[in-house]
Amino acid sequence: MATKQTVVVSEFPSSAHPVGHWRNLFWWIALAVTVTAILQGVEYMSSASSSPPPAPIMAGQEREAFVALVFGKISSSRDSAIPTESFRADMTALKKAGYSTVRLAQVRRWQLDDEAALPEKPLLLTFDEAYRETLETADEVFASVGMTGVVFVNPSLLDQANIHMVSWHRLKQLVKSGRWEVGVSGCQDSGVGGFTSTEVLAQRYARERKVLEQRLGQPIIAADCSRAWNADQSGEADIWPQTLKAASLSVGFVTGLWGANYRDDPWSGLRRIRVSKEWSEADLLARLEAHAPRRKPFIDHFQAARSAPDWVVDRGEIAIEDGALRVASKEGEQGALVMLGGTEHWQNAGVEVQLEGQPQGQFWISLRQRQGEPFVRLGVSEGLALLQARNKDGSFNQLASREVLSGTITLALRVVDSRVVASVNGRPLLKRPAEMPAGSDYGPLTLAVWNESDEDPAGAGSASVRLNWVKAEPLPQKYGIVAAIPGAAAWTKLRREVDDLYMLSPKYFTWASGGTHKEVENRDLAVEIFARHHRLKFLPALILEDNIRSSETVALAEQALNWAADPAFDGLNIIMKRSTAGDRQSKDFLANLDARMAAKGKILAVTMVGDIGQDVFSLSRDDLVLVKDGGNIVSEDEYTVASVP
Amino acid sequence: MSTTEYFLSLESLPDQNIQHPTNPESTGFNRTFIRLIAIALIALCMAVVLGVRWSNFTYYWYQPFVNAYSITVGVFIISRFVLSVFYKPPKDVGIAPTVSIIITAFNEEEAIYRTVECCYSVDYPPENFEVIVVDDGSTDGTLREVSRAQERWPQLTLVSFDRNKGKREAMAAGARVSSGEILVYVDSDSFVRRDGIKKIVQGFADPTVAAVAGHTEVANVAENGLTRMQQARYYVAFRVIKAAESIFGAVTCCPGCFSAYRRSCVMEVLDRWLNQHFLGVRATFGDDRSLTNMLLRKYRVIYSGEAIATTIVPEKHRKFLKQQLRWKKSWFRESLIAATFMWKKPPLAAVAFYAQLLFPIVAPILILRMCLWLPIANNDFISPMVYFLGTVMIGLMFSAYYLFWKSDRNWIYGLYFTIYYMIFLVWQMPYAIATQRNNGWGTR
Repeated sequence: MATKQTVVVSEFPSSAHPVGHWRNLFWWIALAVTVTAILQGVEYMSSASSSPPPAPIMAGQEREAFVALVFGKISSSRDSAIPTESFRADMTALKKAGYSTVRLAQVRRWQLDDEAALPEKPLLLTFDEAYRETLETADEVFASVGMTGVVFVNPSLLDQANIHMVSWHRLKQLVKSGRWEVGVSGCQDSGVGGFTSTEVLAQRYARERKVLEQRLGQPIIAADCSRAWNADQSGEADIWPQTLKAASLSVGFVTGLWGANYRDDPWSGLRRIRVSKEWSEADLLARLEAHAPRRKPFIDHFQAARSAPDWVVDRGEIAIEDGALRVASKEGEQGALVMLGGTEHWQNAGVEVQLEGQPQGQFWISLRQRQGEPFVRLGVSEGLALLQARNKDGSFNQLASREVLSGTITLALRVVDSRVVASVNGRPLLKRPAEMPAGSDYGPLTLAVWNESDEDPAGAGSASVRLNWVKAEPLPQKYGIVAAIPGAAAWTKLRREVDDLYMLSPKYFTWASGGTHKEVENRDLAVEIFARHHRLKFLPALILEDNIRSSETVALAEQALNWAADPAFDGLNIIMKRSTAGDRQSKDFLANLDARMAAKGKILAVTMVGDIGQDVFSLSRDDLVLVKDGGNIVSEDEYTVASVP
Repeated sequence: MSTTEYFLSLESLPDQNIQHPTNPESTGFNRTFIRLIAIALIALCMAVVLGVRWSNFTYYWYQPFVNAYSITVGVFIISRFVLSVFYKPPKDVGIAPTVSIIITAFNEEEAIYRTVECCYSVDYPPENFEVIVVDDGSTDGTLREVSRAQERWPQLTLVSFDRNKGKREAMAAGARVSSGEILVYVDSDSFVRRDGIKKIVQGFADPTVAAVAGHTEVANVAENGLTRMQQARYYVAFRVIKAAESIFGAVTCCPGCFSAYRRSCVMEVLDRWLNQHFLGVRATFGDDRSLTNMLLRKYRVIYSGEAIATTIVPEKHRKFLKQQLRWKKSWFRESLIAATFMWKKPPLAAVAFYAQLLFPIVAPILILRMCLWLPIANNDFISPMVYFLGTVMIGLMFSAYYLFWKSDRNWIYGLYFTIYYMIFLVWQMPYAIATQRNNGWGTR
């Protein structure tokens, strides 16, 4: 855009002419138009290439747990990173297998609200460092498959303008795209060598949270700690949640045993499965299956070359040897502890294990084993099969024992509600079920070996066992509704089913509209004795023949409390039509009655009945109706919903 | 382009170690080969600079301020080279207006006679030019030498101050007593090439041109490394920077050593220029830049690459640094003033001017950040190396450009000067800004 350089004249001009600067206005306009056009073009190109927004959050049915994954670097040029193509294949496989990504905010809402549900097969994808290449690669893949992720960021690293990390500008774009959420990267540097002070850490996390919120314009609710804690260090496990709370962070991710995250898990200690670059898509899916809440029976005959990913080793080591699973302690350690993935929140379960022979040291199978909480275990030690209960204070009560001979040993343990049934080689260890210690509500299935010998406390493989197979299954809560005086057929059925029951509900009472209520004249005391012997809860049934009228709720409640007050009763089981249980009045009535009964130490159960014969639950009908918690509408020998809403 | 025929013989200058400013040591095939190497070097440096700038663009958001600066500097420098390719000196249309050559002198007894001698040796109609010497209260033998020159050239006009009043007063006095249509100001230690006057006046054929900057090279180039660096620097400053500015008629500084002004335009602004004040202090230094600014506001100011003179530059670092400090002070003052009207100029010239206004101010801050803060705070030793590489590449570009045109051994000093600037001169700017009100000349 050169202007004239000289004007050729033949004579020297006698006077000077000022420059007409106004001409330059046109050039300024042309420049402005050009620059504007370029900027518009750049914006158009960038918007054309921008990725579509993430798929909307789907409503779902998952109310129990979700699994979180954590990824390190994703790169095609670094040996230690997950290759880009592998990551893409993993995400595609996850999508194909029906997994849906969830967001932190969604998870938090789900944790706080019992009514909230997550999509089926919920998955939270996290990245523990904001590497540029990782995020760009992941974002591209997320955009194509409709997934979301969470990245934990150290703001001071981004402030260093290191081109290997994502820039603030780009991070903001990623968050704005809707595909990404951000958390505080908690303890990846030496500044957090040990959790010794809540105050110092909380100040740091709060500062970083504020920086992130200011920069990104989004609330920050989570932090992660990608290093293992030393649980033996006094207070470390307590400092972390206190720190998060002080820094106003509501979700914390830690490093520990892999597993799903359940609704009532502590919000500060959510677990993540670290994805290895060695895994294929099938490996990843297998691990997810292994750690998702286990709702189906599990059988392992140990015929594969390697142990299944379902087994999570906390201590020691496991290996498949000649069609058996060898569980052993490592050198320098006294024992080994293995957990079956996906069983962290098993309440009622049954497990059966066959040992190849006597273990070296002690061998135990446990249900509901949580650190610091009571549980029950069945094991073999020095030729004896033992059933023990761990108390809250750590001491053990021996419930039963029996000598076991050499050869294969089959141990079976079942826990339903507070009842424990154990058998060795098919023979019950106890004549009546044992009682679970109080406070043992749920927990995983674990296998353990232990060497208590003082002579050789930590020799290599000092404790070990070989297992031929393991069978385990979660058990539904079942109870029986029976006549006040059962007939022979009902008794036969009852004896057959007793091990699967946790409650017995004889039909003692009815209530009809108008306040008419009836109570059976005769009761078979044997039913109560049977229930007590088998440690079944005894909740007589109160059948509501009609809808609850608002004018009768007070009287009904008083009568129910009166009936439940019987010291022989553990509470009442109200049987009502499902159609009447859904309205607000009924819900309020049941909630109120439940609270009042709980205050008196009584239990209220509710059985909702669908379209079946009306006389199924009549007082006169002699039958045993088996009911399962959380099922569908009852039919004879089928299941029904049975819980107070 | 050999200029030996246009200069006084060296025998006439026994006491000065003055080299021909243009002394190609190679001719013919060697010259072609050297030029090819120079082009390759320029291309290589440009490629590296562009590569670095591309990374500034790619990773822009990591350090937006730094990257914007780097990109702007890169674009600016490359644009100067590109524009200078399109520069054409004023066409020789054969005009020969009356010229008053004004030489201001203060304690220049060693060079004044030779300067006058050069002026009277120019190839220009004798009846169309006069030479005026204004002695600014010299205390050495300057007046004696001027008297000696008057004996040889009786038509020589002398204006003598009884005391030192400053160069601006001397230049104004010369303008007042002059009668020529064109005023050519020559420093008392500068030597005009024989065709210098003839060439420089051709620029005034354009009635919108109020001033023409001549091309100046270093007379004492062979003295030492410092003078060689200044030679390379002068060459690039004129042949690249001024040439690029001249395309838009927006040369921002006509050098005091050799420039021409239309007398009528000078007289318009003479009083204002003489009485210029800045921050409440009378402006003494920066006379050339100040006068250029006042004319640039209404007129065009161009550069003539064919109107050549040489000048004696500082040979000692102390004097050189003082001179540079003075130049920076005048640059800062006049740039702020020019900023008020440069937006009226063609957009590319205006944008380049405003960008160039920021560079020397931002540079010290940037160097501190790159070379101190980043390594200490972030353990980042890559960024200063990249910065240094970019600087070296730009210096090499300047050197290669010099090599292309001059083909002498001084070419590498262009790179040395760039490094010298980064180490020493860049820090003068904050000091120059802070000491604006100190209007001492520094080198007198």
